[in-house]
Amino acid sequence: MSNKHLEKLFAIAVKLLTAMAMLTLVFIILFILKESLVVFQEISLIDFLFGKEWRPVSQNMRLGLRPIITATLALSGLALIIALPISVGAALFLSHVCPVRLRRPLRSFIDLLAGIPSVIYGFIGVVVLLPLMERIFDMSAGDSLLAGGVLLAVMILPFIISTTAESMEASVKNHVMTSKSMGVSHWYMLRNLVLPSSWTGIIAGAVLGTSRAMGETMAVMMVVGNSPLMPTSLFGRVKPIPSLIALEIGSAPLGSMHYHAIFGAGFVLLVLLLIINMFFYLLRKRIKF
Amino acid sequence: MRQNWKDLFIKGWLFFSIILVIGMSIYVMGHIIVNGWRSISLDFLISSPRGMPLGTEGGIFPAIIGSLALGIVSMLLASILGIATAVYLYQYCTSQRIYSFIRLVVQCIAGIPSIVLGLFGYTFFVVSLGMGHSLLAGALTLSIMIYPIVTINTEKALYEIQKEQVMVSYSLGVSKSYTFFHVVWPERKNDILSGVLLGTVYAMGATAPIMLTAAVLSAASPTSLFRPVMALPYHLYIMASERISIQNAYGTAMVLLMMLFTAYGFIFLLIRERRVDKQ
Repeated sequence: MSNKHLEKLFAIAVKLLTAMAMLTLVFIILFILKESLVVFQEISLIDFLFGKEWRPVSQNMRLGLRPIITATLALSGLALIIALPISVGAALFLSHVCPVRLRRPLRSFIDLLAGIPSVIYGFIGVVVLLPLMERIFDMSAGDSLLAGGVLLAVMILPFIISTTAESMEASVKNHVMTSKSMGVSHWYMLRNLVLPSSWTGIIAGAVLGTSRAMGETMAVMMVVGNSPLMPTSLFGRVKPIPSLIALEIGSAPLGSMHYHAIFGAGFVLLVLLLIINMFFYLLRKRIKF
Repeated sequence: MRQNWKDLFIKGWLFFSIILVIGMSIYVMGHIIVNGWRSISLDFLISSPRGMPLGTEGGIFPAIIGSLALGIVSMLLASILGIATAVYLYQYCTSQRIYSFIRLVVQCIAGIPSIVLGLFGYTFFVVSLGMGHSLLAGALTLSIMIYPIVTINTEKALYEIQKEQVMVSYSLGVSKSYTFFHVVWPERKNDILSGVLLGTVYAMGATAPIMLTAAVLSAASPTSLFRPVMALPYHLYIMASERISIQNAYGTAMVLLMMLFTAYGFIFLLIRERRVDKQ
């Protein structure tokens, strides 16, 4: 009898908790959507996305996200350009060159890197990268788009490496067999067999890395200078969407235009991420068929 | 001859990449450990921040406790809900539609950057519900952030179990709850715990969600869910970005890193124990 009670209790608890979690999560998604869409009733979508200036607190308020969105895209693009060749090289090494005994420890070490919190990378950026940039490029302050891009590149390396290496490892056996029987060198095989056939894995890694980079807040905020200017050079100060949210929400009164615009910016970030992931999803679907 | 040159190029590229990655990582960790070690003392670990501006002297004790409190409370919330969801998906869900719906919602939440969750936590918990900057508001926000990690990892752990094992249990007329506690849980407990721990570590290192919802520059060690707390990542952020005390920032970073590495050590042991069991 008591067993039956326990069974019922367990079933109810599991179902209730799951329902609770789902309700909360759906509520969160709807809440974010609702709060962000208000801004579009006041400003047209075009003005909001492409307006040239972001001046939320001046007399003559302007809420144009163009410099902010450009900064977000430029930062993650830059990070990807720097990180991709290095990650693909490292992934190739791990999956095809590395002695088997070393492979697991190296992979764990790289996974460990992915677990270092972003504020620590930001701190390293402040104490190592910025002074380095000031010295190399003779800048008065190192805070810049370039500093953000380099730091982000370091941060997304482990994500791209593990995704790419995983997909490469899956096909190791086929390639080794083929190329051994053809008598070509190991390096020839990497260049002409492995690299061309693993481009889905590489793109998967790139997409994951870019999504990470776009939503990254702390590390970027600590090294980019946070001025809402249009990024015109690598050495300019910029302010991407996450920094904008983190730095401005505290001073925006609830329900004000500024507040809704910040939510709107968060919404734009979500849409950007959605577009990237959709692109990847479609790509993968097309390859499967 | 030309082929050889190309081979050499590939070889160079691969070795250059891996050496760069490993070298850079060792440099990052080494830099923090070497400099952090110098600025850590017993006093630093057990006293509160002092000095003017605050944080130039004294220690980080309230921040250590605050981070642990945030980690534990958010872990409790997220693991209760996350494990329940995973168990529901594995043992109870019979409709493909509900299954896909839950997966979709979990994926959606997992895809939201932590700063946007922080934004939600700030407007909803801190302002609308009037919680103010508090341990509870921060832990709630963090638990939303790690809920997908716990759910996905637990589900993965459950699906790795031999289907036959569960089927045999069911066909003997054993109830679902008994099957869970006596067949599923003993088999997969290490993986479920390591998933939960992974989420907790992630929560303890996160800054963006708590800077808007819980963390302040100075607070006593947490005694109530409704008071603001200090937290290591936020303290590090303030120390470094306001250039208050780079030396204390090194110490904070080192303590944070060591706490996380300890947790990763546990995760490693949990997973390895299972591998050894299997052999």
